[in-house]
Amino acid sequence: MNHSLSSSADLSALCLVESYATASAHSSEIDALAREKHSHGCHSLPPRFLRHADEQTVIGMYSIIQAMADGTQDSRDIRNDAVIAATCLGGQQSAARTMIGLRDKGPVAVTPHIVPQCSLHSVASAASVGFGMHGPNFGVGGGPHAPAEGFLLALTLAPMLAKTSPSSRIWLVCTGWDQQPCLDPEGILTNDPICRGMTFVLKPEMARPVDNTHPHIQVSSVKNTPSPHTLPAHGRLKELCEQFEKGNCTTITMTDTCAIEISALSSNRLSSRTNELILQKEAA
Amino acid sequence: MGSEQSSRIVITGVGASTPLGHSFSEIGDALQAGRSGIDWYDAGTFNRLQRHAAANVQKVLLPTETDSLIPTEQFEKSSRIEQFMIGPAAHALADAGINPKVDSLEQKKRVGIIAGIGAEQLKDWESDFLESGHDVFEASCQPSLVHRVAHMLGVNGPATTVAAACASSGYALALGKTWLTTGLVDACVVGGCDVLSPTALAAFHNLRALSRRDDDPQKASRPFDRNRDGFVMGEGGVFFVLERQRAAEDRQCKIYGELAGVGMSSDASHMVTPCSDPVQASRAITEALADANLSPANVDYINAHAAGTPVGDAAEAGAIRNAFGNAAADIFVSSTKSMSGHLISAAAAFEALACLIAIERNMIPPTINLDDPDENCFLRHVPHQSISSPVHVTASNSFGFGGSNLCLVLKSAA
Repeated sequence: MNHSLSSSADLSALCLVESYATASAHSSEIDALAREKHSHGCHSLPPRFLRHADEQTVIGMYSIIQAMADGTQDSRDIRNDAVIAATCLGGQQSAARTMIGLRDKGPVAVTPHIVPQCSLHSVASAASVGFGMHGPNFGVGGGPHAPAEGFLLALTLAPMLAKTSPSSRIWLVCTGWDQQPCLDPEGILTNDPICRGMTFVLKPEMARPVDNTHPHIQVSSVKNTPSPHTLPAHGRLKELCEQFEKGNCTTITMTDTCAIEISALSSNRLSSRTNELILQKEAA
Repeated sequence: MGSEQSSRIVITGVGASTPLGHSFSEIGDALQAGRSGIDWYDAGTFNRLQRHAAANVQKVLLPTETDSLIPTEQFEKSSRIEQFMIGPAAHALADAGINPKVDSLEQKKRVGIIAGIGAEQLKDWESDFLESGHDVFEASCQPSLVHRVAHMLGVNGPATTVAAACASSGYALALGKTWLTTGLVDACVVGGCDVLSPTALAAFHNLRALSRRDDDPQKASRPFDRNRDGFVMGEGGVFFVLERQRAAEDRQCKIYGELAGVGMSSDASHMVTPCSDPVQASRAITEALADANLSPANVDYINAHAAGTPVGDAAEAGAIRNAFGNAAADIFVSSTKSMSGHLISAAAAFEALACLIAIERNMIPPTINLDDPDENCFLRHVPHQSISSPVHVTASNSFGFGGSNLCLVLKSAA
């Protein structure tokens, strides 16, 4: 047997960034946010849709609404769009409450909502069901590498989607906590951390060369990355958002040889929105 | 032919730890014999010793072929869900004749890994909580399981976890195929794992998704049967090594089959309940056949998702009839969940394995317990006993909570 293996060409997929938005809120504000009407233009969530949702689902859906509201997505048909959700340590508070209930009261105390609402795919499924997106929907990550893995799998899905549904977009939703929630032994929150969401609307683009002035994401070789703003694959979502807000071209190092390059998002060909409830509150 | 061969993606390694066995041949024997891996399972003290029919794996094994990849002591110290990934993933690599710790340096080979796991953190927190730990109260941001296992096995390429509920491991196969066709990696470990857990058993029970039959556990999983009343949970891990066909042929390694096509869609209907409208599920099947350049009449066997739920099985039967049209009357359909139980995140990978076994043995595994087929699930069923029949092309459906639909087309590599 000859077990030698060979390498081949680099991943050539590329996605144009059509829209970008971030949102953040303190944990204490999430319940109120879940009760708000989530809609923009012809797109809206059914009433009470988020009543059982995890905190990261709520902020993720809010960032989707922000991305819809930037003007490019107003009347676009999103029925065949795909959604990928990259979440980090979601469902912690519900998990704690469920386990305390299980221990103290037995299986009757376990809510069935823990399964659909606190799994890794929950944010993606909520977006798909809530906004009527029939393209693939799945979750990715789960840990600190989640945003990086989300970008990589968006670029993985791009050639598949371009083949089956050329006019469709990929909604990449990344969520996570700036600082993880701390709970007391009764499952009560003892801090008030910030939950952050970021949505990219990505158009798969298979034809090269592309107009480099348009914001885009692509896989590149580590040695070819020009960006001085390089983050490790386990970089926090907050740091990533800060790079984008500054208009920096950002590189995420995935492995020794592979990186994700995200061009500057400050181009006048892209409108982006940041809705930080915290800032609004402070201003008020 | 040359370029077509290089773009074909084939399976060169298999590793599994399941209620029906721990190897390709052992699982094949169980499927061929129509043997059930389901028994009574005690859900533990927190569940007030509630008894469920479940497909439990008594002990997760580390095959001896994996000695060079993972030390036994390290495996023994790992958590159960880690073992369900480490054992099968290491076995699949050894089966393919790949040792990333050596090959990545000497051959500049890039090996990636994609694991389908739906609720890894929940399982981690739960297992710690059951031992009086406090991780769920003060969660720390540790690398996820797939990164820890990638490090253990020397996997140097990208690593990621994907989740689409019961279709999770199928998405891992689908995305791994693209990593190879686009040249991101030279080999990719793909699959999924899941464990029985008190919280999951209680949650699915309270959702009324589990069978509540209390006579014989081996009769509880009855897909497509008129008297089905829910699914039976199982656990296990199934992983494959995917490679480009040209590379596999150059290495003269065994090729189990080709991952010829994938199709994905979403119902966008409900977070839990399957959509009764078959349009989106059948779209996933149609896209998978188109990706494989095959027509419905080319398919010899369909491994149905059919878990034994009243709504889901009937919806899937409709989707199969819709996607396959007149050809549906001639294609054998079975649900191996009648024997294996529902391995949740690992289900799609297990069922892909069942398709590879069907191809190798020219054998259609049965749907056991199918005593009285539901007329709403009218298909060409294979009740009770396996049958011999030529199998070149198979389709495997997987549908998950949140409306994720997936179809994989696997065919013989010949």
